[in-house]
Amino acid sequence: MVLLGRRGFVFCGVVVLASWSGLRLHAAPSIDANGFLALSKKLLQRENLDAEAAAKFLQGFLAMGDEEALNALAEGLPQPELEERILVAWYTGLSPDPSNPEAVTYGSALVWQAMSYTKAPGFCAVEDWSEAPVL
Amino acid sequence: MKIGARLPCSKRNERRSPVATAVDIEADILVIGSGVAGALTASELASQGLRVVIFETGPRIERGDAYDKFRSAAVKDLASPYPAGAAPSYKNDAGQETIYRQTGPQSFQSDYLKAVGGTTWHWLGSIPRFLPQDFKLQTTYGLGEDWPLSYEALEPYYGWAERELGASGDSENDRGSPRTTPYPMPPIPQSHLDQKVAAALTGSRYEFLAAPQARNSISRDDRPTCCGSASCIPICPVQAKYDATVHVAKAEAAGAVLFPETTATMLHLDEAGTLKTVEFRRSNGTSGHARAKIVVLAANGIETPRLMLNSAQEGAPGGLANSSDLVGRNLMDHPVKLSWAMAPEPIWPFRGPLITSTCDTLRDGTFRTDHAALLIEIGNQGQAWSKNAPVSNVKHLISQGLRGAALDQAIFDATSRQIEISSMVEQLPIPENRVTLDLDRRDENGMPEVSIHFSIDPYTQAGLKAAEAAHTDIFSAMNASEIGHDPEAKGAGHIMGTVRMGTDPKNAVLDQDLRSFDTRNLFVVGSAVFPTGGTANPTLTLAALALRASEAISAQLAQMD
Repeated sequence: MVLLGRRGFVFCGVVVLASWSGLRLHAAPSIDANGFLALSKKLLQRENLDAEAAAKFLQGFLAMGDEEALNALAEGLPQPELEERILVAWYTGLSPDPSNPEAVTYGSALVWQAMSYTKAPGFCAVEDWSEAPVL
Repeated sequence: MKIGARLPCSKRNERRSPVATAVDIEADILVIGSGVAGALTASELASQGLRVVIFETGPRIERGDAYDKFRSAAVKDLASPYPAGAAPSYKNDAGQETIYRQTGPQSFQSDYLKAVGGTTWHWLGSIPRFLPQDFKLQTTYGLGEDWPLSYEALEPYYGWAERELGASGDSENDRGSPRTTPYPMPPIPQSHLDQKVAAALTGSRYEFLAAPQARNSISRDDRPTCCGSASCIPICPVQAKYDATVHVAKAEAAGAVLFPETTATMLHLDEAGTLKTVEFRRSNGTSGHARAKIVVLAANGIETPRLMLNSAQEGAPGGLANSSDLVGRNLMDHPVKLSWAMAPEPIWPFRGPLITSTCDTLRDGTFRTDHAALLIEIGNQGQAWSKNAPVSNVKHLISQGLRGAALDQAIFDATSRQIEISSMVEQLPIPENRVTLDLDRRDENGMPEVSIHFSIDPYTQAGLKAAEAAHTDIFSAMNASEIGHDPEAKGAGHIMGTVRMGTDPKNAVLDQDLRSFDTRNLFVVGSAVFPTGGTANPTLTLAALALRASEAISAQLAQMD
């Protein structure tokens, strides 16, 4: 793939640079929190996404080794499996990294916005549950 | 009382003969376990001015911390609000058995919480009474056992327990369990979903009424009204739902002394067969001995027989108070049949307390000679239990290519019509269903872990089939679609029968006052004492029995003095 070739080239360049300057041998991720937030807004067709949550979700995807695919997706190359996982993360509030014991978001996870007739468990009800919801 | 003294470090005493040892803690009454049975007993006896000490294996839980932990947890299960180790599950995420070695054809799926306040931290809060017929199953249907006391004898204590726990219910409808006192609070409102189901069943044999609950429908006992957080399991954020920390606090206010993170490991008899000392170990590794005139075991249907069996010694070779060989036997739960469907129109689940309505009409009848009775509940959490909704819906709909507003609308449509119904099915006492010690595995206190042999007999299997048929009837009356039934019975968390009461010392461990036939200064409280399990959630009945036992304990103590 073109992308892999280009990244391979960059990696080689880092090796050379590292040997010259003593820099640590790893590549910085080319997608940052702002880039991931912008990508998420595009995929989710939403503008009001939380930047702090975006940064945490990004950490999870990077921990799962998705950096390359994220860069590709940000450049417009189809990554259907990753795209689905990004949506699932925002809707459920769960990090894509299953080893993370903490949720990224909970009450503000998008699924509860879609289920506008209720709220996440653990929050007091805003309506009388014996009546139909006011939509 | 030498409580609070520095505890000596010592290795676990392996002796199995009567011991003469220094005593670190001394009291009139030592209660082992701080769940609802232990806390109620301790509170009642401490309020009489008696010197009460409580041991609790688990730690104190701070509600705010637990709630924050629940909110931030990725996996929101029974254990999520609580410290590691306090809420061990019978099975881990990989599906492997954990705290029990399971040796039977079925897995025993109910577990418990080790914490000050016990499992009531994450119980549902349902408190139906047993039916009068549940106390005489052998006489009425030729099955199981009769209890050594009648419904009528326990009825005043049911009322007392309802006032202590704070019960909300409909006093005008006794649901087959006659009452002499009203509920202290009006019923928790039935959810809109429940009302839709009940309306569809008008004229049928299925009548869904407001469930009696230990949950405040009005502000009472310094606790607020239920706010409908829909997280009764695993934690009520505002303590509208009763938990046993209420009575732990009352016991302490009355002078009882609680030792958290302190595990009783061995009960020692003297030469006369009286329970003399209790060996204990704290989580920091220190250990010691306690002495009390009367010891009350309140450590649930697993841990109580575990401690009794681990206390085998000279004079009690099969375990303490176990001349009947019934300690650990007759383990029962209420195996649950779980079913789901989609209503033809939105019925608005995921709102209000997790359960607000139940159906009692199949809890008793002549059918009981053929198959087990059942109590039907409507869940208010969509298909969360059966299918991990709404997360499963989100994943499915995203995989279908839906995005943006179309995805939101699809989630709305898919979740707002969900319904889940479950039935708790009666299980008969079977001696082979039992708790034993797993001598190959020991915990941090050196105590053997637990081995469980569990099976679901044909009578209960037939009851599970009857439950499935009832669920299909209900869904059909609603014109629901996509009906499904879980083929595997689930655990209800009701651990019963392992230290049962009765009239004959050869056929029971305890008398009707919950006093050991063998060791007269030993009492056991909790659902372990149930001879049969009926279909009611056990908490109100075990609370009533604990209050009744507290009178017997108080009277015995007066005689001893």
